[in-house]
Amino acid sequence: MSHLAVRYFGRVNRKTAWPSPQKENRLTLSPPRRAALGGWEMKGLHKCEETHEISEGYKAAIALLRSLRNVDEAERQRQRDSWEMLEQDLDEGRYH
Amino acid sequence: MLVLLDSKPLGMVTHPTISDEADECSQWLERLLAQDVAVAIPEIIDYEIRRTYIHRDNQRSIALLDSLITDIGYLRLNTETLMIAAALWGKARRDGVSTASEKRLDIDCILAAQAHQASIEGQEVRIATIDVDDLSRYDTDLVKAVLWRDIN
Repeated sequence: MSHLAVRYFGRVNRKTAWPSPQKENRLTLSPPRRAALGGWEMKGLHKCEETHEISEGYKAAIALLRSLRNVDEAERQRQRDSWEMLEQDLDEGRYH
Repeated sequence: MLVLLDSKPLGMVTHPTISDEADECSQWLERLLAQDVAVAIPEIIDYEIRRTYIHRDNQRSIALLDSLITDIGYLRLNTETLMIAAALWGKARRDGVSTASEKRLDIDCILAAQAHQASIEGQEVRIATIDVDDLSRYDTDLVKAVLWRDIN
C-alpha cells in the first residue's frame, strides 16, 4: 500500500464521533471553497488557467486517486466489498 | 464549465480497482483535475452515498469521501435549491416525464436543481453520470447531463 493510501486509510480505525454539522460548517449558506451560488470563484480559476497551475486541493485529490488505484490485494478486496454494498444501495434507492 | 459528479462516477473513483470502467473513470477525473476543470461534489450526492456508508458502518469509505470533498470542492444545498427542485419535480410530473415514485425523495430532481442553481449566472454545468436518460429531462441550454467519459 502506498504512503498516501496509508495516510488516508490510517483513519479507518479511528473512533469517530457523530459528525457535527456545525463544526463541519455544512449548515451555513456560505459558499464552499471553489463554488458559490451561481457565482464561481472565476477570478481564481482564470488565474489558474493563465499559469497552468492547479490548486493544492486538486494536487491532493490526484494523489488520492492514484493511491486508490495502486493498492494491494487486501485493499482490492475491500474495494470490491464496499462497492458491492454501495451499488446495491444506490440501485435500490434511486433506480428502482 | 463546472462538472458535478453523480453518485455512480463518484463511487467508481473511490473504488477504482473493481472494474476496468472504474479505473477509467478514476483516470478521467484525474485528467479533468490536471486541466484545472472546476469539479464539485453536490451535497445531495454526498448525502446519497454517505448515508449508505454510515448504515454499513463503512468508516474507511467515509474518510475517503471526506478527503475528496476537502480536496475537490462541495456544492451546497440551500432553500433556493429545494425551491428549484420542487419546481422541476412538479413540472416533470405534470408533463408526465417523471421517473421516480411520488413517495421517493427523487434525488435526480435535487441534483438537477443544484446544477440549475449553479448555472444561474451563466455558468455551463455538466452532470457527469451513467444515467443520462433520466437526468437529461432536466437539461437546459447551460445544464446538460452527460455520460462521464464524454466530458473532456
